[in-house]
Amino acid sequence: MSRGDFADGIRGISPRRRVDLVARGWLVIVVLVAIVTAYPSSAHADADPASDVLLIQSAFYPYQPPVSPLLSAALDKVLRAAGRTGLKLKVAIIGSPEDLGGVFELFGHPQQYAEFLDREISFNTRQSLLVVMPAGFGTVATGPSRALAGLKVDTKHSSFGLTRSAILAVVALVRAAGHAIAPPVIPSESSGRGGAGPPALLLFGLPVVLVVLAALAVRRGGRSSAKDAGVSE
Amino acid sequence: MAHIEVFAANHVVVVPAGVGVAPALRRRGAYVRGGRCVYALRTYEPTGLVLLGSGAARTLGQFFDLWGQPLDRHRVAGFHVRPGAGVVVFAWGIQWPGNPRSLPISSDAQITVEIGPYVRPHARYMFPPLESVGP
Repeated sequence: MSRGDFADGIRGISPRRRVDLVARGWLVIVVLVAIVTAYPSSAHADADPASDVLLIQSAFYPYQPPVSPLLSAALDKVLRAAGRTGLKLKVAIIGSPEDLGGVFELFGHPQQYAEFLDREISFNTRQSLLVVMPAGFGTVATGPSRALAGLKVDTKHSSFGLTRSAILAVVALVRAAGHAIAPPVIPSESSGRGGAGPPALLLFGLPVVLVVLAALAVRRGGRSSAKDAGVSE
Repeated sequence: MAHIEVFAANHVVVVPAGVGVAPALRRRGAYVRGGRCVYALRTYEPTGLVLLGSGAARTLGQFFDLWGQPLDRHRVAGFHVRPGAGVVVFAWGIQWPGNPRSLPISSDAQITVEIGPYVRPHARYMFPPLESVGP
Protein backbone atom coordinates (compact mmCIF):
# COMPACT_ATOMS: atom_id res chain seq x y z
CA MET A 1 0.00 0.00 0.00
CA SER A 2 1.33 3.43 -0.98
CA ARG A 3 1.11 6.56 1.13
CA GLY A 4 -1.78 7.79 -1.11
CA ASP A 5 -3.77 4.57 -0.72
CA PHE A 6 -3.28 4.79 3.01
CA ALA A 7 -4.63 8.39 2.98
CA ASP A 8 -7.66 7.45 0.75
CA GLY A 9 -8.52 4.58 3.03
CA ILE A 10 -8.83 6.71 6.12
CA ARG A 11 -10.69 9.64 4.38
CA GLY A 12 -14.18 8.14 4.84
CA ILE A 13 -13.69 7.58 8.55
CA SER A 14 -14.95 9.91 11.29
CA PRO A 15 -12.39 12.59 12.36
CA ARG A 16 -12.01 11.15 15.88
CA ARG A 17 -11.49 7.62 14.53
CA ARG A 18 -9.06 9.04 11.91
CA VAL A 19 -6.95 10.70 14.58
CA ASP A 20 -6.90 7.42 16.50
CA LEU A 21 -5.76 5.44 13.44
CA VAL A 22 -3.04 7.95 12.54
CA ALA A 23 -1.79 7.90 16.12
CA ARG A 24 -1.71 4.11 16.06
CA GLY A 25 0.15 4.16 12.74
CA TRP A 26 2.79 6.47 14.16
CA LEU A 27 3.02 4.29 17.25
CA VAL A 28 3.73 1.22 15.08
CA ILE A 29 6.42 3.14 13.16
CA VAL A 30 8.03 4.41 16.38
CA VAL A 31 8.04 0.91 17.90
CA LEU A 32 9.59 -0.59 14.74
CA VAL A 33 12.31 2.06 14.66
CA ALA A 34 13.01 1.48 18.36
CA ILE A 35 13.34 -2.27 17.84
CA VAL A 36 15.74 -1.88 14.92
CA THR A 37 17.95 0.66 16.69
CA ALA A 38 17.95 -1.32 19.92
CA TYR A 39 19.90 -4.15 18.30
CA PRO A 40 23.64 -4.03 18.60
CA SER A 41 25.49 -3.14 15.42
CA SER A 42 26.16 -6.80 14.83
CA ALA A 43 23.92 -9.63 15.89
CA HIS A 44 26.93 -11.94 15.60
CA ALA A 45 28.98 -9.95 18.11
CA ASP A 46 31.62 -11.78 20.13
CA ALA A 47 31.36 -15.06 18.27
CA ASP A 48 34.85 -14.93 16.78
CA PRO A 49 37.97 -15.45 18.92
CA ALA A 50 40.00 -12.76 17.13
CA SER A 51 37.73 -9.94 18.32
CA ASP A 52 38.47 -10.83 21.96
CA VAL A 53 42.18 -11.50 21.55
CA LEU A 54 42.80 -8.31 19.54
CA LEU A 55 41.48 -6.22 22.43
CA ILE A 56 44.60 -7.28 24.35
CA GLN A 57 47.30 -7.96 21.74
CA SER A 58 48.07 -6.80 18.20
CA ALA A 59 47.83 -10.09 16.34
CA PHE A 60 45.59 -13.13 16.33
CA TYR A 61 47.17 -16.38 15.10
CA PRO A 62 45.57 -19.59 13.79
CA TYR A 63 44.93 -22.40 16.27
CA GLN A 64 46.52 -25.02 14.04
CA PRO A 65 49.32 -25.46 13.25
CA PRO A 66 50.67 -23.13 15.95
CA VAL A 67 52.87 -20.25 14.84
CA SER A 68 56.34 -20.34 16.39
CA PRO A 69 57.35 -17.68 18.93
CA LEU A 70 60.13 -16.61 16.54
CA LEU A 71 57.70 -15.89 13.73
CA SER A 72 55.14 -14.17 15.96
CA ALA A 73 57.98 -12.05 17.38
CA ALA A 74 58.90 -11.05 13.81
CA LEU A 75 55.31 -9.92 13.14
CA ASP A 76 55.18 -8.06 16.46
CA LYS A 77 58.41 -6.27 15.57
CA VAL A 78 57.05 -5.15 12.19
CA LEU A 79 53.79 -4.03 13.81
CA ARG A 80 55.74 -1.94 16.35
CA ALA A 81 57.74 -0.39 13.50
CA ALA A 82 54.50 0.35 11.64
CA GLY A 83 53.08 1.92 14.80
CA ARG A 84 56.06 4.29 15.00
CA THR A 85 55.14 5.58 11.53
CA GLY A 86 51.57 6.21 12.67
CA LEU A 87 49.95 3.04 11.31
CA LYS A 88 48.68 1.26 14.42
CA LEU A 89 47.55 -1.99 12.88
CA LYS A 90 45.85 -5.05 14.29
CA VAL A 91 46.23 -8.28 12.35
CA ALA A 92 43.95 -11.33 12.27
CA ILE A 93 45.45 -14.41 10.62
CA ILE A 94 42.74 -16.91 9.83
CA GLY A 95 43.87 -20.32 8.63
CA SER A 96 40.65 -22.34 8.90
CA PRO A 97 36.95 -21.96 9.72
CA GLU A 98 37.72 -22.99 13.33
CA ASP A 99 39.62 -19.71 13.74
CA LEU A 100 36.31 -17.89 13.21
CA GLY A 101 34.27 -19.70 15.89
CA GLY A 102 30.64 -18.72 15.47
CA VAL A 103 31.10 -16.82 12.19
CA PHE A 104 32.79 -19.67 10.34
CA GLU A 105 30.68 -18.87 7.26
CA LEU A 106 32.95 -15.85 6.70
CA PHE A 107 35.93 -18.13 6.00
CA GLY A 108 37.07 -17.42 2.46
CA HIS A 109 35.76 -13.83 2.62
CA PRO A 110 38.62 -11.78 4.08
CA GLN A 111 37.19 -8.35 3.24
CA GLN A 112 33.77 -9.18 4.67
CA TYR A 113 35.38 -10.51 7.82
CA ALA A 114 37.60 -7.42 8.11
CA GLU A 115 34.51 -5.20 8.05
CA PHE A 116 32.75 -7.43 10.58
CA LEU A 117 35.77 -7.38 12.89
CA ASP A 118 36.03 -3.62 12.52
CA ARG A 119 32.52 -3.21 13.94
CA GLU A 120 33.52 -5.31 16.94
CA ILE A 121 36.86 -3.78 17.88
CA SER A 122 36.61 -0.17 16.70
CA PHE A 123 35.26 2.17 19.35
CA ASN A 124 35.72 5.93 19.19
CA THR A 125 38.00 5.83 16.17
CA ARG A 126 38.34 3.29 13.38
CA GLN A 127 40.93 0.63 14.08
CA SER A 128 43.33 -0.07 11.22
CA LEU A 129 42.93 -3.72 10.49
CA LEU A 130 44.50 -6.38 8.30
CA VAL A 131 42.93 -9.81 7.81
CA VAL A 132 44.91 -12.59 6.18
CA MET A 133 43.15 -15.71 4.91
CA PRO A 134 44.23 -18.24 2.30
CA ALA A 135 41.67 -16.54 0.01
CA GLY A 136 43.44 -13.18 0.27
CA PHE A 137 43.71 -9.98 2.30
CA GLY A 138 41.03 -7.84 3.87
CA THR A 139 41.71 -4.32 5.14
CA VAL A 140 40.00 -1.52 7.00
CA ALA A 141 41.43 1.99 7.38
CA THR A 142 44.89 1.04 6.19
CA GLY A 143 45.44 3.76 3.60
CA PRO A 144 45.68 3.38 -0.18
CA SER A 145 43.44 0.51 -1.30
CA ARG A 146 45.91 -0.66 -3.99
CA ALA A 147 48.75 -1.15 -1.51
CA LEU A 148 48.40 -4.93 -1.47
CA ALA A 149 47.47 -5.33 -5.12
CA GLY A 150 50.73 -7.03 -6.10
CA LEU A 151 50.97 -9.25 -3.04
CA LYS A 152 49.71 -12.83 -2.95
CA VAL A 153 48.99 -14.83 0.19
CA ASP A 154 51.32 -17.81 0.65
CA THR A 155 48.87 -20.69 0.83
CA LYS A 156 51.43 -23.49 0.53
CA HIS A 157 52.92 -23.31 4.03
CA SER A 158 49.83 -23.15 6.28
CA SER A 159 50.20 -20.90 9.35
CA PHE A 160 53.82 -20.11 8.53
CA GLY A 161 52.88 -18.94 5.02
CA LEU A 162 49.95 -16.87 6.26
CA THR A 163 52.04 -15.16 8.96
CA ARG A 164 54.86 -14.49 6.51
CA SER A 165 52.29 -12.95 4.13
CA ALA A 166 51.01 -10.81 7.00
CA ILE A 167 54.51 -9.47 7.68
CA LEU A 168 55.04 -8.61 4.01
CA ALA A 169 51.58 -7.00 3.83
CA VAL A 170 52.30 -4.76 6.85
CA VAL A 171 55.52 -3.60 5.19
CA ALA A 172 53.65 -2.92 1.93
CA LEU A 173 50.98 -0.91 3.75
CA VAL A 174 53.56 1.21 5.56
CA ARG A 175 55.45 1.88 2.32
CA ALA A 176 52.22 2.70 0.46
CA ALA A 177 51.53 5.32 3.12
CA GLY A 178 54.85 6.93 2.17
CA HIS A 179 56.95 5.82 5.13
CA ALA A 180 60.25 3.98 5.21
CA ILE A 181 60.46 0.70 7.07
CA ALA A 182 63.38 -1.69 7.36
CA PRO A 183 63.02 -4.98 5.47
CA PRO A 184 61.82 -7.56 7.98
CA VAL A 185 63.87 -10.56 9.01
CA ILE A 186 61.56 -13.55 8.62
CA PRO A 187 62.68 -16.78 10.30
CA SER A 188 62.92 -19.81 8.04
CA GLU A 189 60.08 -22.29 8.01
CA SER A 190 62.16 -24.94 9.77
CA SER A 191 62.67 -22.60 12.69
CA GLY A 192 59.14 -21.34 12.38
CA ARG A 193 57.27 -24.64 12.39
CA GLY A 194 55.75 -26.27 15.46
CA GLY A 195 56.86 -23.58 17.83
CA ALA A 196 55.38 -25.30 20.84
CA GLY A 197 57.46 -28.48 20.36
CA PRO A 198 61.09 -29.15 21.33
CA PRO A 199 63.90 -28.19 18.92
CA ALA A 200 64.88 -30.86 16.40
CA LEU A 201 68.41 -31.18 17.87
CA LEU A 202 66.93 -31.97 21.28
CA LEU A 203 64.32 -34.30 19.83
CA PHE A 204 66.74 -36.46 17.84
CA GLY A 205 70.02 -35.81 19.65
CA LEU A 206 68.81 -36.64 23.16
CA PRO A 207 67.97 -40.31 22.46
CA VAL A 208 71.41 -40.80 20.83
CA VAL A 209 73.15 -39.25 23.84
CA LEU A 210 71.11 -41.44 26.19
CA VAL A 211 72.02 -44.61 24.27
CA VAL A 212 75.73 -43.71 24.35
CA LEU A 213 75.58 -42.98 28.08
CA ALA A 214 73.76 -46.27 28.71
CA ALA A 215 76.39 -48.18 26.71
CA LEU A 216 79.20 -46.53 28.70
CA ALA A 217 77.45 -47.35 31.97
CA VAL A 218 77.02 -51.00 30.99
CA ARG A 219 80.68 -51.21 29.94
CA ARG A 220 81.84 -49.61 33.20
CA GLY A 221 79.49 -51.86 35.19
CA GLY A 222 80.94 -54.92 33.45
CA ARG A 223 84.52 -53.86 34.30
CA SER A 224 83.66 -53.25 37.98
CA SER A 225 81.92 -56.61 38.21
CA ALA A 226 84.97 -58.29 36.78
CA LYS A 227 87.21 -56.38 39.21
CA ASP A 228 84.89 -57.27 42.12
CA ALA A 229 84.95 -60.86 41.03
CA GLY A 230 88.77 -60.74 40.97
CA VAL A 231 88.96 -59.34 44.52
CA SER A 232 86.67 -61.98 45.94
CA GLU A 233 88.71 -64.69 44.41
CA MET B 1 35.13 -27.86 25.31
CA ALA B 2 32.23 -25.39 25.39
CA HIS B 3 31.79 -21.75 24.34
CA ILE B 4 30.14 -19.12 26.53
CA GLU B 5 29.29 -15.57 25.48
CA VAL B 6 27.70 -12.92 27.66
CA PHE B 7 25.75 -9.86 26.51
CA ALA B 8 24.51 -7.22 28.91
CA ALA B 9 22.97 -3.81 28.21
CA ASN B 10 24.33 -3.69 24.66
CA HIS B 11 27.77 -4.66 25.87
CA VAL B 12 29.84 -7.73 25.20
CA VAL B 13 31.13 -9.02 28.52
CA VAL B 14 34.46 -10.70 27.85
CA VAL B 15 34.97 -14.00 29.66
CA PRO B 16 38.61 -13.66 30.71
CA ALA B 17 41.48 -16.11 30.41
CA GLY B 18 42.43 -17.81 33.68
CA VAL B 19 38.99 -18.68 35.08
CA GLY B 20 39.40 -21.96 36.98
CA VAL B 21 43.21 -21.70 36.99
CA ALA B 22 44.79 -21.09 40.38
CA PRO B 23 47.47 -18.38 40.68
CA ALA B 24 50.25 -17.70 40.07
CA LEU B 25 49.15 -17.56 36.44
CA ARG B 26 51.68 -17.82 33.62
CA ARG B 27 50.56 -15.35 30.95
CA ARG B 28 51.58 -14.77 27.36
CA GLY B 29 49.78 -11.88 25.68
CA ALA B 30 46.05 -12.48 25.87
CA TYR B 31 46.53 -16.10 26.90
CA VAL B 32 47.11 -17.94 30.15
CA ARG B 33 49.62 -20.78 29.78
CA GLY B 34 49.25 -22.37 33.18
CA GLY B 35 48.97 -21.95 36.90
CA ARG B 36 49.44 -23.79 40.18
CA CYS B 37 46.49 -26.11 39.52
CA VAL B 38 43.25 -26.17 37.56
CA TYR B 39 39.57 -26.81 38.18
CA ALA B 40 37.24 -28.95 36.07
CA LEU B 41 36.03 -25.81 34.26
CA ARG B 42 38.74 -23.46 33.05
CA THR B 43 39.63 -20.88 30.42
CA TYR B 44 43.05 -20.22 28.89
CA GLU B 45 42.02 -17.49 26.47
CA PRO B 46 39.61 -14.53 26.57
CA THR B 47 37.42 -15.95 23.81
CA GLY B 48 34.74 -17.72 25.85
CA LEU B 49 36.21 -21.17 25.16
CA VAL B 50 35.87 -23.29 28.30
CA LEU B 51 37.78 -26.52 28.78
CA LEU B 52 35.90 -29.28 30.59
CA GLY B 53 37.74 -31.68 32.83
CA SER B 54 36.48 -35.07 33.85
CA GLY B 55 34.28 -35.47 36.89
CA ALA B 56 30.80 -34.64 38.05
CA ALA B 57 28.24 -32.70 36.03
CA ARG B 58 29.09 -29.04 35.56
CA THR B 59 26.70 -26.13 35.43
CA LEU B 60 26.76 -22.53 34.32
CA GLY B 61 26.38 -21.48 37.96
CA GLN B 62 29.58 -23.34 38.89
CA PHE B 63 31.44 -21.61 36.07
CA PHE B 64 30.34 -18.16 37.24
CA ASP B 65 31.33 -19.09 40.81
CA LEU B 66 34.84 -19.97 39.59
CA TRP B 67 34.90 -16.71 37.64
CA GLY B 68 33.90 -14.83 40.78
CA GLN B 69 30.95 -13.13 39.08
CA PRO B 70 27.31 -13.28 40.12
CA LEU B 71 24.74 -15.15 38.05
CA ASP B 72 21.11 -15.59 39.01
CA ARG B 73 17.72 -14.78 37.53
CA HIS B 74 18.30 -11.04 37.91
CA ARG B 75 22.07 -10.46 37.73
CA VAL B 76 24.94 -11.26 35.39
CA ALA B 77 28.51 -10.20 36.10
CA GLY B 78 27.65 -6.88 37.71
CA PHE B 79 24.70 -6.07 35.42
CA HIS B 80 21.16 -6.05 36.83
CA VAL B 81 18.06 -6.68 34.75
CA ARG B 82 15.33 -4.08 34.49
CA PRO B 83 12.19 -4.63 36.59
CA GLY B 84 9.96 -7.26 35.05
CA ALA B 85 12.76 -8.72 32.96
CA GLY B 86 15.06 -11.67 33.62
CA VAL B 87 18.34 -13.23 32.66
CA VAL B 88 17.89 -15.28 29.50
CA VAL B 89 20.14 -18.21 28.68
CA PHE B 90 20.40 -20.11 25.41
CA ALA B 91 22.13 -23.36 24.53
CA TRP B 92 22.68 -24.00 20.83
CA GLY B 93 20.30 -21.09 20.17
CA ILE B 94 17.44 -22.62 22.18
CA GLN B 95 16.23 -20.84 25.30
CA TRP B 96 16.83 -22.67 28.59
CA PRO B 97 13.56 -22.67 30.55
CA GLY B 98 15.01 -23.15 34.02
CA ASN B 99 17.23 -21.26 36.41
CA PRO B 100 20.28 -19.89 34.52
CA ARG B 101 22.58 -21.38 37.15
CA SER B 102 21.35 -24.90 36.52
CA LEU B 103 22.13 -25.00 32.79
CA PRO B 104 24.48 -27.97 32.26
CA ILE B 105 27.75 -27.22 30.45
CA SER B 106 28.31 -30.13 28.13
CA SER B 107 30.91 -30.77 25.48
CA ASP B 108 30.47 -28.68 22.33
CA ALA B 109 27.79 -26.52 23.98
CA GLN B 110 27.33 -23.02 22.56
CA ILE B 111 25.91 -21.00 25.44
CA THR B 112 24.66 -17.41 25.34
CA VAL B 113 23.75 -15.42 28.44
CA GLU B 114 21.77 -12.19 27.96
CA ILE B 115 20.05 -9.58 30.05
CA GLY B 116 18.83 -7.59 27.08
CA PRO B 117 18.41 -6.10 24.67
CA TYR B 118 17.99 -9.26 22.67
CA VAL B 119 20.99 -10.44 20.65
CA ARG B 120 20.31 -13.32 18.30
CA PRO B 121 22.13 -16.26 19.90
CA HIS B 122 24.40 -18.48 17.87
CA ALA B 123 23.21 -21.99 17.32
CA ARG B 124 26.66 -23.27 16.35
CA TYR B 125 30.29 -22.63 17.16
CA MET B 126 33.15 -24.22 15.26
CA PHE B 127 35.53 -25.45 17.95
CA PRO B 128 39.30 -25.65 17.38
CA PRO B 129 41.14 -28.92 18.05
CA LEU B 130 41.34 -29.57 21.79
CA GLU B 131 45.15 -29.78 21.75
CA SER B 132 45.39 -26.23 20.37
CA VAL B 133 43.65 -24.65 23.38
CA GLY B 134 45.52 -24.30 26.64
CA PRO B 135 49.12 -24.83 27.66
